Amino acid sequence: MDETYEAEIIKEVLLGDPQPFEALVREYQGAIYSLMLRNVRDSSMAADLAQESFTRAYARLETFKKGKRFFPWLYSIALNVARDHMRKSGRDFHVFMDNPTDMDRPEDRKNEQEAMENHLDGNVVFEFVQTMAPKYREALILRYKHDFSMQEIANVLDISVSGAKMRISRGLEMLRDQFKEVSNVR
Amino acid sequence: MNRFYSAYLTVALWAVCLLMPSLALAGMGLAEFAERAKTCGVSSDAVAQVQSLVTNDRTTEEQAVSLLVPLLAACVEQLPLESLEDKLAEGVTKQVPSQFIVGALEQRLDGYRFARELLLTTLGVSTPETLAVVGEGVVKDVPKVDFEDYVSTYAHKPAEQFQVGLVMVSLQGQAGFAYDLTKQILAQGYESESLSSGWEYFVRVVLAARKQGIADKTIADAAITVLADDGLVSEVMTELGFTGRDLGGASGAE
Amino acid sequence: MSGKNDARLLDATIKSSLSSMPDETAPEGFSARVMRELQPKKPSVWMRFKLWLFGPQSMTFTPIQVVPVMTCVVALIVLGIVQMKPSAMSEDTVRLSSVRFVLNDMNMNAKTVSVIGSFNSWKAERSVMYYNNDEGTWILEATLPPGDHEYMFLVDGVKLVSDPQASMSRDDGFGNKNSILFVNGGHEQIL
Repeated sequence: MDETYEAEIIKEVLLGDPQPFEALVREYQGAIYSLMLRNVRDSSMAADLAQESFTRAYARLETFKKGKRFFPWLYSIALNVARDHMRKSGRDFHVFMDNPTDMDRPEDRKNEQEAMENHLDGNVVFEFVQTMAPKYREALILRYKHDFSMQEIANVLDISVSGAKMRISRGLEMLRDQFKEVSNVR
Repeated sequence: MNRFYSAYLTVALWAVCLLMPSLALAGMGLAEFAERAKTCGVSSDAVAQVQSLVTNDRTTEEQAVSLLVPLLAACVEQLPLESLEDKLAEGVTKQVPSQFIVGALEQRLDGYRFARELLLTTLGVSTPETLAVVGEGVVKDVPKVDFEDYVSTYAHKPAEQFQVGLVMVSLQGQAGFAYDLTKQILAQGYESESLSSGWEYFVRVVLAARKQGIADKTIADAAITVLADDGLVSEVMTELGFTGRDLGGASGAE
Repeated sequence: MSGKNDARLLDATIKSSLSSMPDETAPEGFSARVMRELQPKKPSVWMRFKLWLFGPQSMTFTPIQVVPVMTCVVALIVLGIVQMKPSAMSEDTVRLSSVRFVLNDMNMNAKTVSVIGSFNSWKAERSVMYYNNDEGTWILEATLPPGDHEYMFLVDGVKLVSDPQASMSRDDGFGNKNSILFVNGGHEQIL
């Protein structure tokens, strides 16, 4: 969505008309819902958390800095919503998110196995990405899917720019390795 | 003979030195002393607490004055009062005899005096933040030499990172985590410029890992590995093989 | 050479696959569901002014109009600064963390239990715990600033009890052991 148009929507909302906000929700609901689904793996909970993200963003809209992109700002809020949820549900987000074995459910392993047997095409990336350690996965998604700048990734993930670069290069390396592995299997 | 004479003289001088303040204070009633303390900036809550001890017959006027002496001294020397006022409140609530509270207050005063001297003579400046970290650390039994070493080694580092390291020296020292290990962690953190503010509370990882029977050396090695990789403090838990919830917003209570 | 080309091709495949990775479709009626929860905002005078000031405007002034307009602008800026202060402060305020103090007492032997500590100036009346019959525990939920906090339980107004679950304790210099609670600033982020 065009940034000027987004700025116009935000202005209208701040002036007291919530309706234009729905355009922003429609624009980004898929991305935010997907983020939640990658983390909680329960569609109903993911929808609740995505809703909470938009509600929180709406409540804090006054703090949104003009001239910045709306989506990275919204994404930071959504990540915090996810973190809060993990904490409340008794699972430490950082520990949970950081441990790939925690994320690795039997059905995922099955997917991975199937993926190995599939042709080496673009869709396999999606399968691999799902099984990656979340910190690398999210960095890669932000960079290549959502076109975030390194600075934006660093801001959103609350790490340094060099840390963001490191995660992306590591993430790419992991994907390359997995591709090679699949090629060898074949 | 000379040796005896010299010993007597020393004792006499010490006696005069020790008696002088109490002689001076003897002429001053609690009310007047309390007023002076308040005028200087000691909180009226703290002063009222001391006065109420006398009203409730829990201490004498003279002892009440002794309680206010270290508070007034801290105030006059422009050292932070919160720490002393907090200890006073703690002692009063716990119904500790006044003389023990006086001892605890004097110990705090000494801790903060040391802190300020160290900071002023090494960094040339003592900010409220650095003063509080070193002062509280010393009061809570972190060896003074640890702070001396840290400050002299890293005085030239950027203020933000310096403060993170200082907090680590203090908190880890309070937890009895060997300074040598803390120093190795800090050396790595500085080298890879990865000492972000989250590391201040690395002590929480230490306590959680110790609960699982992990040795301090292993914890330190894990921290060094993570720091070398520009990692976050919570990654140390993963490095140590944790999967459970051991690091909430706080550790200690649930 | 061919190895290098293969690597480039592989990277290009990975990147293009990532960029075309599909999003999940949000549940039907999601945006309407979000919108139902939102209340219209009531912008302050300052907010209206700010939005006006930074939005594109097209105006014509005569010199005689400029003086009163500028006077109003200055007045509004002053008003704005006064109004902004609290929100600026709330941005900077320390992040508090929720903490739950728990003391087991299966048969409710104690009549009252409080948490006394450096965070409540050791005042028992400020942090009185409640008894949870189902769990057989005294509980207090509190929000604390980052730092190391010392505390003890005060049972029936007289008995001092250290927290058996605390990860660390320290002599209080008065013959008891204070329990220590480390609260971080919530800066730890992994994702």
